[in-house]
Amino acid sequence: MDALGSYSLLLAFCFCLYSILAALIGHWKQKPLLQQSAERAVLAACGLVVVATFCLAVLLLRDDFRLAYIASHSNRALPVYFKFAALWSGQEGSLLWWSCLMSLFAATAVAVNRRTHAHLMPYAVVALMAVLLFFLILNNFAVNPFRLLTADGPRGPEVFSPPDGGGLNPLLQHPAMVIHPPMLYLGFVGFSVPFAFALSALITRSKGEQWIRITRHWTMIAWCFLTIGVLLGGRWAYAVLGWGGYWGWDPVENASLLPWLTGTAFLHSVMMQEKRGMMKVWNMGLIFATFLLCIFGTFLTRSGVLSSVHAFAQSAIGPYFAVFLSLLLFVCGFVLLRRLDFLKSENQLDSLASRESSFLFNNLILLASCFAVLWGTLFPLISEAVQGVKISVGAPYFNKIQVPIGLFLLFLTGVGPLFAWRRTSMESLRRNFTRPLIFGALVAIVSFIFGARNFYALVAIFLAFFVIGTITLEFFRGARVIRQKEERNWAGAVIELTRRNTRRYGGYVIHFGVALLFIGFVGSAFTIHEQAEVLPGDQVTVRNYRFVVQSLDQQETDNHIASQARIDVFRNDKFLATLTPERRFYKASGQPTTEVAIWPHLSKPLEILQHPHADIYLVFAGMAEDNQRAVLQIYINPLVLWVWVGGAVMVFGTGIALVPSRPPQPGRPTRKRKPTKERDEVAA
Amino acid sequence: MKSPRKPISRLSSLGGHDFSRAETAQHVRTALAAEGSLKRILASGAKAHFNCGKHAARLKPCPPVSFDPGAKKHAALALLACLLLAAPLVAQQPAEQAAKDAFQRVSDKLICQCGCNYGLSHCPHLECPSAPVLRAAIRQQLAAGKSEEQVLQAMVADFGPAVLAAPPAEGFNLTAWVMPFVALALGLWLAIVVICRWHARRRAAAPDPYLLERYRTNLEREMKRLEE
Repeated sequence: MDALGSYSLLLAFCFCLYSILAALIGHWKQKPLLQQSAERAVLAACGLVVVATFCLAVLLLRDDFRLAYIASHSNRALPVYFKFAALWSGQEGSLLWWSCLMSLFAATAVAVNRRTHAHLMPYAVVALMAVLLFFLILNNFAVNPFRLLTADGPRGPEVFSPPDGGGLNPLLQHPAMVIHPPMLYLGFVGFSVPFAFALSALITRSKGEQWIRITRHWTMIAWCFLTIGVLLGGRWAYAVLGWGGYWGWDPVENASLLPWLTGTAFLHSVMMQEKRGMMKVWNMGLIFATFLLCIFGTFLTRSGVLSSVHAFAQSAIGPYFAVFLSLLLFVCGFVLLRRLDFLKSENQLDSLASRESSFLFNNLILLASCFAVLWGTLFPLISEAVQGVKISVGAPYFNKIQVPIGLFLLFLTGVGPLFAWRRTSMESLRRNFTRPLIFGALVAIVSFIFGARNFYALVAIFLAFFVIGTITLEFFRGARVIRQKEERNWAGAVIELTRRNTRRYGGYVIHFGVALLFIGFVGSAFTIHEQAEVLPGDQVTVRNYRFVVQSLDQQETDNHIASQARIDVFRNDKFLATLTPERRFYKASGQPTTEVAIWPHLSKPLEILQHPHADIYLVFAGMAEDNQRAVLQIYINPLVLWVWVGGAVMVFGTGIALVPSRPPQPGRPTRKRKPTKERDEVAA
Repeated sequence: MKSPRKPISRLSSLGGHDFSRAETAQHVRTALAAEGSLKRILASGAKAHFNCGKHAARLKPCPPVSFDPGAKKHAALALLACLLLAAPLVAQQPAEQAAKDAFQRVSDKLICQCGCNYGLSHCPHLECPSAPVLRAAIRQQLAAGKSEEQVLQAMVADFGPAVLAAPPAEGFNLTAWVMPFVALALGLWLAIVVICRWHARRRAAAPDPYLLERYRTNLEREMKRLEE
C-alpha cells in the first residue's frame, strides 16, 4: 500500500510536468491533439493523487506504524474519525491533502470548461498544473508522507515498525478539527481556479468579461469555504485552547483572514466589471493578490517563521515556499504590466453618490484592513531586521487598528447596497436611510440604558441594527410589490423575490450574517473573567451567576486520563445546568490538555433558547499549590453565540446566491390593481 | 473503557507525570526571592519540567526537573512579604476592586513568556513557567505602590520590549502604528483621484461605449427573439 501511494505520487508528478509541457507546446505549435492530451493528463494526475491520499488514509486506519508520518501522528487507541483526521494534522499529510484537493479542483475546472472555453484552456491548465507541480515536488522530494522508519540492522538500514504510534496532538482531537482544515484548504485551493483563468485570459487577451463569468461560481464557493474554515478555526480555538476567546490575532489566524479580505474585495469589485466594464486591472490584481495570500498563508502556517499557537507542523519547507511565492509574484506582475493596454477601460462616473463609488470605498477599506493585518503580522520580523530587537505584536495592537476599520466596513455594508448604479437621488437616499437609522439609534440607546458603556460597542450595535434595518426594508419593499401584483402571502412573496434575483438577495442575506457577526463581536467588550481555587462543596459567585462545585473526580479511557470537575451553575438562584470541565492527560503523547465546558451547547437548541445572550465558559485549569483545590477559570462571554449564527447565515446567503435566478413565472393569478411606481424599482 | 472514579488526591501523579504546579510555583518563588531579575528566574525556571503549550504543541520533550535545595526558606519569606503587602487591600472592597482592575489593565498589555504567544491574562497553561511569575510580580509591584506605567517599564527592563503585547508608539515602532493609516490615506487619495477622473471623463465624453455595446447586443437579441 505504501509503495502504491509512493509511486502514484511520483507518477502524478510526471503527469503534471507532462501536462504543462504539452499544453504549452500544443498551444504554440497549434496542435489540438497535444492540448487534448494535456487536459487528459490533468485528469490522470488528479486520479493518481487521489489514489495516494486514499492509500495514506487506509494506512492510517490500519495503524501501519512503519510509516514515519503515521508513527508520529496516530496511535492504536485513537478513535477512528481522529485517525482519519490525522491525514491533515501533520506537515506531510496536510500538504498531500492540499495536493489532493487542488488536483480535484483542477480536474473539475478542466472537465467543465474544456469544450466551452477551449481558447482559455492551455494557459489555465499550465497555471493550475504549475501550482499542483509545486505541491507535488514538496510531496515527493521534501516532505514525503510515505517515508518509512528505518533503523540500522546487521545488514545495513532496515525498516522497522514501532508497536504503537506517538499519538495525535491532543489539541487537535476535537470535532471542529476534523472539518476545519479541509474547509480552509478548500477555500485556499478554490481560489486557484479563478486565478488560473484570470491569468489565462490576460495572457491570451481573451475578450470581455468571460473569465469572470466562468469563475464567478468558483470564487463564491471558494469564498464560502474560506468563511467556514476561518469561523471553524475560531470555534476550535474557543472550545479547545481554553483562553476564553475565539480570535486572538495569532499569525496563523491572520494568515487565513488575509485572503478572505482580498477575496471579499474581489467578489464586490468584479460586479463593477460585470455591470459597467470598470476596474479591469484592479480585479486582475485582486485575484492575483488573493491567490498569492492563500499560498502565503500556507507558508506562514507551515514554515514556522512566526511563532504561533496554531503551528502544528513545521519543518524546513520555508525556502521552497519563498522561491515559489517570488516566482508567482514575478509572473503575475510581469503579465499584468505587459497587458496593461489590453485592460484599459473607458470608465465614467455619472455621480459621486453611486454604487460605483461605494464599491471603491468598500475595496479601499477591505484592502486597508488586509494591509494592516499583514503589516502587524510581519512587523516582528521587520523590526528584528531593521532594529535588531524582537518585539511582539498582539491582540491589543490589532484591536486598536481593526476595530475602527471594521466598523467603517459595517457602515458601508449598510449603505453600499442602497446606492443605485450610476446615480442616486437624495430623495431615494432619504427614503432608504431614515427608518434604519432611527432603528439602529433606538437599539443603541436601549443598550446604553441597559448598561452598555463602551463607545465602540455602542457604535457597532447602532451600525449592525442599521444594516439589519436596511436589509429588512429592502426585502419588505420588494415583497410588497410582488404581493401587489400576485396572490401570495408574505413568506411566499419574499421567497419569490429572492428567486428572481438570487445574487442580490443572497448578498443581502450574507450582509445580514455580517451584521450578526458584529453583534457577536460586541460581546467581547463585556466579557467577565474570574479565577477561583475550589474544593468540592465550594461556591463561587460571579455577578448574578453562582457556581457550586459538586465533586472533583478522575476518569480513565484507553486514550486519556481525565480529572473532571462537576459544577452546578445557577443564574439568579435558578438552576441552569451541570457543567463538567476536564483536564486530560493523553497517554500516547504524554500531554495534558484542558477540555472546556461551554454552555449553552451549540447542538442543543433548547439550551440556546434558555440562555441565548451569553456563554458560560469553564476551564479546569489544574490543581492549586496545595494539590487539593482545583483552579477554575470562569468566563461569562456575552453574545458569542451570534458569531456562529452569523457565520451560518453568511453560508446560507452564499448558497442562495449560487442558485441561478429565475425570471417571473407567467400564469400566476394576478391581482387587478394598478402597478405602483415601486414595481420599476424591483425590475431594476 | 472507563474505570471507576478515583479520589482527587491522586491527581498529582497521573501516569507518573507531574500534573500539578505546586513545585513549579515554589521553585519560581524561591528564585524570585534569591535572584531578583525575572528574566533570570525564567532562565532557571526553564530547567523545571513544564508541560507548557509550546512543548505540547511542538511535540518537543520537556527538559528535566531540577530544584534548588535551599529554596524553601526564600519561598516562605517571599510568600510572607506578598501577604503583608496585600493585607491592606483586603480590608477595603473598592480598593480591592481598583487593584484588581489595575492588575487586569497591566496584564492585558503583556504577553506570556513561555513562548505560547497568549496574552498574560489568557495563558491557559497552568504548568506555564512564566505566567504565574509575571502575575505575582505585577501584583507585588502594584501593591508596593508602583504606577501601572512603572510596572510595565520594569517588565520591559527585565524581558526586553517583546514582553509588551503591542509595540510602544515610539522610534521605529511608530511605523507599526502609522503605516496602516498612511496606507489608508494613500488609498483614499487614490480613490478620490480615480473618482474625480471618471467623473470628469463623463462630463467631457459621449455615452459610455461599454454600455452602448451592451445595449446594442441586448437590442439585437430582443429583435431576434421577436423575429422568431
